[in-house]
Amino acid sequence: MTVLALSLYRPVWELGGARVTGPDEDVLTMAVAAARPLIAVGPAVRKVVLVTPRPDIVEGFGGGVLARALDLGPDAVVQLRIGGAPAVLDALLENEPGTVVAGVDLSSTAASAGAALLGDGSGLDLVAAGRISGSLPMRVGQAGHATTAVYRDARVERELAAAPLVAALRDGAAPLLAGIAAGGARRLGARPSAVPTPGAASVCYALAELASAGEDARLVAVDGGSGSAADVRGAARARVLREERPAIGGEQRPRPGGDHVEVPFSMPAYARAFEAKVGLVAAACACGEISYPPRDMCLRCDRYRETTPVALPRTGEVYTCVTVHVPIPGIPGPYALAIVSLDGSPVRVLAQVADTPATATRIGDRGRLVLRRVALREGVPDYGYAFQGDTTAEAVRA
Amino acid sequence: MRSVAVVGAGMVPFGELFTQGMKELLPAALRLALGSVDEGMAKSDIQAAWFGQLQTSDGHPAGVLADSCGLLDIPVTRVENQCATGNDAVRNATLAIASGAVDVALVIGADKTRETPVASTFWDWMGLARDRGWDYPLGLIAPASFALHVARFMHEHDVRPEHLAMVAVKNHHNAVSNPVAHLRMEVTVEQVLAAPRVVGPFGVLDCTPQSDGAAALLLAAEGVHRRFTRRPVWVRGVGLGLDRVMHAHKADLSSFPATVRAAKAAYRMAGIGPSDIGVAEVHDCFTGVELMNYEDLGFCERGGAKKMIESGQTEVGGSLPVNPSGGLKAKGHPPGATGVAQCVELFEQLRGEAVNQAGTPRWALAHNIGGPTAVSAVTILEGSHG
Ligand SMILES: [Zn+2]
Repeated sequence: MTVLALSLYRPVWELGGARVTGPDEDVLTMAVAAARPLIAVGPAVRKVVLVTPRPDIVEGFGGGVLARALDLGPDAVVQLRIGGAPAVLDALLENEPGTVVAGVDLSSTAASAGAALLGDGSGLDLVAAGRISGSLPMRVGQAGHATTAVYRDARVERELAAAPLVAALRDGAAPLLAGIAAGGARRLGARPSAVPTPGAASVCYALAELASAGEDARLVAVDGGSGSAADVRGAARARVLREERPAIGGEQRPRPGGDHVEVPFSMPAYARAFEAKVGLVAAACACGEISYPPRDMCLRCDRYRETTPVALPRTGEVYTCVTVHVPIPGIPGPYALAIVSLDGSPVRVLAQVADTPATATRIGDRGRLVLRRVALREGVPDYGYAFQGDTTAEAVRA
Repeated sequence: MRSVAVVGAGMVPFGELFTQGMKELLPAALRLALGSVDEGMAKSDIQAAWFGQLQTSDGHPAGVLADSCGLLDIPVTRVENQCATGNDAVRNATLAIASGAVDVALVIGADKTRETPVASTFWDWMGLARDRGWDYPLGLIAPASFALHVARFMHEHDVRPEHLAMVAVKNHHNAVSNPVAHLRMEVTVEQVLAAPRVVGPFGVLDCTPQSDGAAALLLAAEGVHRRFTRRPVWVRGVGLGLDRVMHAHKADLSSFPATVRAAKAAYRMAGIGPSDIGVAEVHDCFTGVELMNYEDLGFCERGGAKKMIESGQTEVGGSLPVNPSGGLKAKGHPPGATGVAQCVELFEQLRGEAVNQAGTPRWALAHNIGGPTAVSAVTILEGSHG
């Protein structure tokens, strides 16, 4: 199988040396953040496989949200798989060109996401080199339980889970090992990758490392008692895209404030807004007027329902913005709201500001719109777009 | 159209009125208004009532008014138009009398913002004014809705936080001597600037309190008014203006087009212009909003508001006193009552009876802006002297 491009994403927030998610991020938004840059690489993407060890949403998973946010067609297939590094490698080996495989970890010690685009033609070739299914349940997250049961003994994991897999799946030279911490890999005579995560995102980080170095190697991915291996050839031919911004202290993240309240939710209102809101699609009238959210009646010419969908630009400039300091039950704070004038478009959007301390945004700042979980309403995630300022603006201010 | 006179006006002191529900506030305000009528008025003289209430605390508004005040034999209409509710109720009653359909009407406004805990109030009020699918989940609370405007206004006209603070200082000062005001204390520019931040350019002392209260006016047709007073105040202009409901759709956030539209309609009806106004009660739910109102109401040109507040022109004793009652900022803001209470203050101003009397004005203007900054109501009154 051929990997045309790899994309890596880590949240901007950092606590104790590790990247952590913002309050507006979840498995789905992380997957979109990693996968979206691959869409522009082309070929057309028809399928997305999202791999994560512990989905935050299982029943009611937003596959449709993911497809819209990536501008995939209505017939695109979105699969959610539970697993770690080997599951990602397996997905890369099993799927057809036109598939994006994304691995997402929400772990509080290393939140990260990686995605790979499979295609025909010139890219990094992956050749299956064996797999082994075993069972060493080092981490067990029971449905309905907030915490994961962890067998806290790294030596047991290394010697009983990883060592036999590395021995069985290596081909003489030290393989690159994904799915286990760097120290453990070295002790097993394997090469650790300089990745920030040992989880589902690690395979894409390891492949990106090989691609950037232009180096071919055997990659062994392990998780619990299972492992999968592949030989990487022509690594230099894969493009590597990184969505990583300079770290901001996680203590500056918006925090849940005050009493718990359920933010009321209306399913019909969600349904009416969905296509335009998550797809970022406006309505263009025959007269040229663009409305967002789409209007049935044109404000310029009074035509009724004679519009065609038109994708909005995702970059723009802050027209006005404010910080909400007062704690609002149900919304992590402090948070900032901005009205953003989209580039080359008459459309402005109101959005929360993401990935920056709440008081850092100014009129005139430039940035882009990124998919975020804008609210959790009676337990239902409400996805939409947040404004993410260009890092240059923040750097100048800092 | 017949001319319409205000012949009586009264209001319950605004505040946290935990011991009074709608059923207590409404008769109290009605009684005060009836008691203010020079030659006296009986409840049975009232032929119709318009009741401004934004929320529905204690249930069906029109029914609660008719029941609690014993007005079962007249039609009662509830008016709801967000924070412009009070002056819109005045407008509706005025048009009914002007048309000849009614000779004597009650306008009453009341709200109880302190009936629910703050935690749910934010979402209750957002639910009244935001699109459920789009802006509502983003947390566009009322102060943020206005702050998005004021931040742009400050950016375009180089208005500083000190200018906003001056509005709070002025209006709090006016409220100290007003016995019906909610917050009767002086504040300084330094205190306003140092107060805990709420949203954007607004600290706690830039914001209106959440008040309970009720206010009432008694209107009568020209001619009929002589039974009640020889010193009527005339309703000369009423205007209602609207604007886009989503902030992303507002072309210029340094202005409130709803106010511009409402003022234009009211000035035209009254046959006067902004320079004729001698005293005004304007919507200062947040300090910066008062400054924007100066420009939108035509009291100064675009960008001139900061000079108006700097120069003291809008203080009592200045050339155009604004919010001599203390305004929403210090007198208080029970939305349905707010606009009606502005007219109560102006009724007293135009009769030379106000606690902070602003000279001998002939023309007075009341103004509300509300909802997602999408509706404004303006009322223009004229006194008998002058
Ligand atoms: Zn059109």
